[in-house]
Formats: sequence, structure tokens, C-alpha cells
Amino acid sequence: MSLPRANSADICLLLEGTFPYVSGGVSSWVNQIIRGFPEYTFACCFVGSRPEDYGEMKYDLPDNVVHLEVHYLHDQGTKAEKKAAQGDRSMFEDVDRFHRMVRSGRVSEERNRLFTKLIGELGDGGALSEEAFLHSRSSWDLISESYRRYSRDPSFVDYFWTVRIMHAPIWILNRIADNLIPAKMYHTISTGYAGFLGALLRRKTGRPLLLSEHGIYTKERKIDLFQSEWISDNRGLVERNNVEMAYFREKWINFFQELGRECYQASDQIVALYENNRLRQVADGAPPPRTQNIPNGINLPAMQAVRAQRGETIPPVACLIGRVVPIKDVKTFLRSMRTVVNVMPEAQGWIAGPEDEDEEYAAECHALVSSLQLDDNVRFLGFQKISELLPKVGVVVLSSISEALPLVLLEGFAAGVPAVSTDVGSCRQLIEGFGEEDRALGSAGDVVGIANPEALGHAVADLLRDDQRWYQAQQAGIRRVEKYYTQEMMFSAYRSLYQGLLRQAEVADNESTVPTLDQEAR
Amino acid sequence: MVEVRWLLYALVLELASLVSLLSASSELSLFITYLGTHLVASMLLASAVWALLPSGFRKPAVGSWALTFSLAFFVPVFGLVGILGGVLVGYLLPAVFRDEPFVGVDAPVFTPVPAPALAGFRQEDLKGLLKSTDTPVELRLQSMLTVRGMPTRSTGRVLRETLGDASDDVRLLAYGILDQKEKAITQQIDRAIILLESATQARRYRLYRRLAELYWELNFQDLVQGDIRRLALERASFYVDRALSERPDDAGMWLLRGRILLTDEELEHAEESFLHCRQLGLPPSRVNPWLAELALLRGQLGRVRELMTPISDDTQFSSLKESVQYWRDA
Repeated sequence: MSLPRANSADICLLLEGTFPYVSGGVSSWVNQIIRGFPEYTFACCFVGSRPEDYGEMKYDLPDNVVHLEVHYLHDQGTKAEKKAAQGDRSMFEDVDRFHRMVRSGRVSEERNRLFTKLIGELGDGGALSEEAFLHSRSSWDLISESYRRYSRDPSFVDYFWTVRIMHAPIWILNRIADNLIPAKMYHTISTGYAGFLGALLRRKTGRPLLLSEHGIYTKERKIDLFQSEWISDNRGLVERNNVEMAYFREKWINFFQELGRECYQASDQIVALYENNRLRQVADGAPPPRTQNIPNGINLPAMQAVRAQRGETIPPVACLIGRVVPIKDVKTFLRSMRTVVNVMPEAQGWIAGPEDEDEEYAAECHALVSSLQLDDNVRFLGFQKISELLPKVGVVVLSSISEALPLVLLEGFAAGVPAVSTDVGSCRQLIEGFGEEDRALGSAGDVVGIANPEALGHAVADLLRDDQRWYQAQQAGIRRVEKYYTQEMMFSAYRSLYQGLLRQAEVADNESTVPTLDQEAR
Repeated sequence: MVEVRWLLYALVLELASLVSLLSASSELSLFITYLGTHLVASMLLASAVWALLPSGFRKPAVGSWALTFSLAFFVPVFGLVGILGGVLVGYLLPAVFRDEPFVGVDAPVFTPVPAPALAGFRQEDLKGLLKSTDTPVELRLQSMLTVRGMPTRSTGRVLRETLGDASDDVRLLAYGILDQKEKAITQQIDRAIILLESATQARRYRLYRRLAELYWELNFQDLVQGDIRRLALERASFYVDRALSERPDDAGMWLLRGRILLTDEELEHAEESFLHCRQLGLPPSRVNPWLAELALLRGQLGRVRELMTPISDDTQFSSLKESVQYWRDA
């Protein structure tokens, strides 16, 4: 299938590892937003890791997506010709100055100006082209000098290649930014690489940038990097200090933190799903005046139809709706089913979600079912239509170790299904309420600690076995969604954001000057 | 080497010819004799030197031989010196002018790894540090890194408490550490179960033993709780029995069986297992601590001392030393 192409669009979405090639909460949200604004044309710029990591498109493209382009950061394609060069020494001194500012941890107008200057030189033929970075004497001098000054890891070879590999995507993103079709504004759905692409576009074109962050990208990367085993540590026995993180690990974490910071600094508006995430963004470098919260919203009428399909009795079915990936901690759900089945032998545990994203993990989950002797009680359903699934479910279970504001809980509530969730992201706020008025609506289920299968299992079993409590929870969920989490509220919030930013773009075009973020920033 | 012999002959002949030339007589026949010996000496010399020349100097063969011969024949004495000198130069010079792909660099300087920004030592209660909410998150993350390097047997509890931490980072890291350790064991279990399906009789015993130990490890490392822990112990006990049905005299398995039963608080059966270990020949230092624990659970303090005393001081259980000391002195 050929991808839609256009010469321009109203809004360009910058999507890293999500819609339309990956299914999940964020992708559904993107789909929802695009369909919610038929009056605008959208361009989608998908940024992925490698082509083989993604299959077919998981969503039908809405009609107002006029343009879709797909890029991969780790695609070993073009290689710059190897030619020795001296390189522009003064420009690399600027790079050094920039890194010093980064190291100092402060953001300033000067830093942002320098950033804009540096990214202007990234293109082919520029003083900081990929060629210059990879093969010039000045670049070598900067890298080796930095190694001498800062590296706590003794291996220069590892230092050298870590620096090169870490920075490589910057030039790919720069090429994407240079070749992207013009749009009136950019909307990135995460920080990270897509967010950095947004920052490049904002600084180069002067068109406004909107950032909507679901999970906190930097945080998730950080946890990944804490755990990852591919990062080498060459410290000897005497140099090693358990209290201290391996130097390269720290560098990778810092790199993603700074990618995020540049995105926050360049964004005209920054949206979080709930207050805790907004505070986290501010802590990570988002200017507070530009931040706000817009929670996810549910298409109520559609869900009311689903609710109408429910039978009289409470099905003894606990269902985890989500991709089978480690972050959802499916294993804890499976283990909790052991507890549930111990007290309710007729109980069923369903997992509704695709298993292709992390096949190894999925295989481990299947093996766990057998070793827990739950073969008769647990079923892996694969991807399911929410509207067909929810009427058969007694309780929606979320065992994730990290979430933001999960749509599945809201969808479950709207369809009349209470939930038991781990205490992550805004789950407690969704189930128990946030603030006096919200809390007065009652609890829509139960919240337990993460990675505690027994507590999760008991919470699920208790809810399923207590009819009165179940119906109260159901009502609380329905009322909460209707009051605080409707699609209309979300759309109207985004409508005013889009309108404001598009107007800003128009004004800027008429004046033909690039509006500086930094003057209004602080 | 024939060339060297030629060279010697040549030198002797040349010397002889010189002697004949330097004699007082000036007869023509003497001069002709001289010319003859000099000619033979030169030919021998030329052949010997030519054979000894580096291969690059020997081409073209006739020309290079003729040149060497001419030098030896027409320039007596000095020609010889010249040839040898020339060969020497030929050997050495190319090395000087050859285009080497290497360049001289300065001697490397030792670059010491910069000292960490903060002091490496810190005396503080790790548990307290992790649990206190007013410690900065960065510092708590650091202490988590320390915890990661410690056995979960002693850190499991504090890690699980941190799972409920207010800070996402701390919580997720705690989860990751526990998950990684648990996964390492579970993967081995899965592998062993697959191997078991196609295992021979002899192999099966080893796999039963291994599975029993791995399931026990899940419990011992404090990686599983509640129903899952019960399940793990059940599996461990199942495989212990399997292993014992293959080899009833496996004292190690009897010991494990006793420990599982002890965890299940089946004291009678546990004791039977431990005593059976002794009968099978396990030394008191390995069995008595468990029997003592059993006695302690039953409140038989005298028996505890009785059991702890025979454990020698140099026992492999270094951590046991203190308790042995305590009971001996009690």
C-alpha cells in the first residue's frame, strides 16, 4: 500500500513508535484526536527504530491524514563518504561550550540561542555535518579532550564509539526535519527522538510546537537504561564503586534527558494527562507557564451502547486489556489469578492484547500459565474489539508497573465494568477520585501496590464475589467518567490549543519573523 | 654453504696472486700467473657474492654477475672492498627510504580516570535511607544500585517495601531488580523442564535435583510470596521426591526435603529427613544447624546447645560461627 502524500498540511504529528504501526493506548488516542478534528488536515511523521520491528499498519488512516512518512533511526542505510577533514574548529568550540552549559544543568536564553545556531549547521555541507562529526580532526580533538576531562570509564575506544552511536540519530532527525512537508504547526506525542525532531522543526521554521505527553518518555528510558545489560562498564576492580553508576549508562540517561529538555524548551504548549506528570515535566525542564493538564476522554454514547449489552449477572472474568509487554507486568496478573482461582475456582483470567511486540515475554507468560497450573482458567485472546469484549468482563485489571492515564480503565468504567489497578500513574485518581467532589462519587474498584500478586488477586476476588460492592463500584465508575473524562472535554481543550497555535502561526507568517520562545519563556 | 667456501677460495687465491705480484721479480710469466689466479679468484668471488646478494640485486642475472666480476677483476683489492661495502649499503639503505605506513607518535600519557564527584564511602543504614521520603531521589537511586549488588535473600524485603514508594524511579528500579533476579531463576527452570521431556534415565535424576534446587531458590532468595511461594515450595518438594525415588541415598536431597518441610512447619517430618541425612553420612556441621533450629522452634533449648556444640569452629559456615559460640557459652 502506498502512503498518502501531500505538499502541505495544517498539523504535522510527530509520532515515535506509535500510531499507525503500533497499537496501544497512545495510538488509540492519536486516532481519536485525528478523527475528532476533521476540519484540519494532518500529516503524520512516524519515527521508528528498524523496519523489521513493525508490521502492517494497525489502524485505518482517517481521511484527513493527507500525508504519512515513515523513518527509521537505526536503519543502516546511507553512509557518509569517508574523507579526512580539518573541520571548523571554532564551531566545535561552540559545541564544547554548549556541552558545558548542558553539564551545568541550567537552561538559559544563551543556551537556546546556541542550540539554534548549532542545529543550523547540521545539514550536509554545514560546519557540523555528519561528515564533519564523524571524520574531522576538530571533532576527534573535541571527543578525545572530553574523554580526558570527564570520562570515568577507562576505555577510550568505548567512549569514542558511545559518543558516535549516541549522537548518530541527530543527523537522521535533521534530515527528516529538512525534508518534511510544510505544516502550520507541529504536534509531538512524546519527547525523546520525536520531541527532539519537534524542537528542530520549531527552531528552524518558527512554526509553533505542541507537546502532548502521555507517559513520561525520559523516565521510561531511564528505567530501561538502569536495567539494560548492553552498556559496558570497563572499570577495574579497584576503580569500581557500587554506589556509582557505570559512566556510559549515566551518559545515555543524560542524553535522553537533554533530548527531552530541548523539546520542553522549544514547545509553545506542553500538555500532561494529570498533575503528577505535569510536575515531573516541570522538574525535567518544562517552563511551568506553558504547561497544562488535559485528561483523556471517552466517547460516551458509543460506550453506553456497550453497557447496554451487559447481562444481569456479574461474569467471573478478570480481564487485562493491553499489549503483552513487560511494562504491563502480565506475569503479576497471571500470578494473581492463582490466588483468585484458589478462592473462586470458576474464575477466568483473560488477556486481551497483541502478543507480537515482545514475543519472548509473551512466551514466558504462556510458560508461566502452565507452571501456575492455570491452563483451564487463563486465556490469551489476542487483540479484541473493546465493544465486544467488555460486556463479557466482570472486572478490568491493570497490573502495570507504569501508566499515565490509561484509556482502558475509562472505557471499562463507561461500559459499566469496575477495575482493580496497581497504584501507578493516575490510576488511584481514576478509581478513587481526585479532590473532594470526585471522591464523593465513590470508589470504582480497588487499588493495590505494584508487583504484589496476592494483594491483586484478593482485590479482584473480593470485588467479584461481593455483588453489592460491585454494583456500587460500577455506578461510581460510570458517574466519574461522565463527569470528568468525556471526549467532548478533551476535544474542546485541544480545539482551543490548536486554534491558538494556528493563529500564532498565521501572525508569524504575516510578520515573517520567527517568534522567539525564549522571551516569553521565563 | 658452498658460497662461503667459494669466498674463502677466492680470498686465498687473491692473496696468492697479490703475493706473486709483490715479489721482486718482474718476469712476464709471473705477471701472467698473477692475471690467471686473479681471474679465477675474481670469478669465484663474483659467483660467491652474487649468490649471497639479496634477490633484488641479482636481476638481471648475467648483468649483475658481470658487474660484480668486473669490479673484482679490474679493481684489485679495492674492488673487493667496494663490492662488500656496496652490498652492505644495499642491505641497509632501502630500510631507511622505505615508505612505512606508520608514523612516530608521542609516548602515550596515562589518563587517570577522574575521581567520582562524591565520596565513595558512606556510613548509613541502607534500609533507612531507602525508606526515608526526605532523602533526595538521586541518592536513593544510588543506594538502589548498591542493593542490586547484594543477595536478594537479605534485600528482598526492603526492595519489596520500596515497590510502594512515592517516587516512580525508585519504585520501577526496585521492580526491575526483583524481576531480573526472579527471571534468571525462572528461565533456568523453564529450560530444565524442556530438557526433562527428552531426558534419559540418568539425566532425569540430575534434572529433578536441579529443578528442586531452583524452585527452592525462588523461596530462599525471597523472590516469591503468598500463593506463589506455596506453589514454588510444592514444586520443590515434588521434584525432591522424584529425585529421591531415583536415588534414595542422596543426602543433599534429604537435607533439602527437611528444609522445605521445616518451612511448611511440618516439624516431625522435617526432623526425620534431617536425621536420615546424618545416617547417610552428612557431617554434623551441615545438618545440626537445621536440627537446632527445629529444636529452637519446639523450645528445647538444651537440645539446641547439644546440637550446636559438636559443630567445629572452622566450619565452612562462617556466619554460623557466632551462633555456635553463643550456644557453646550459653
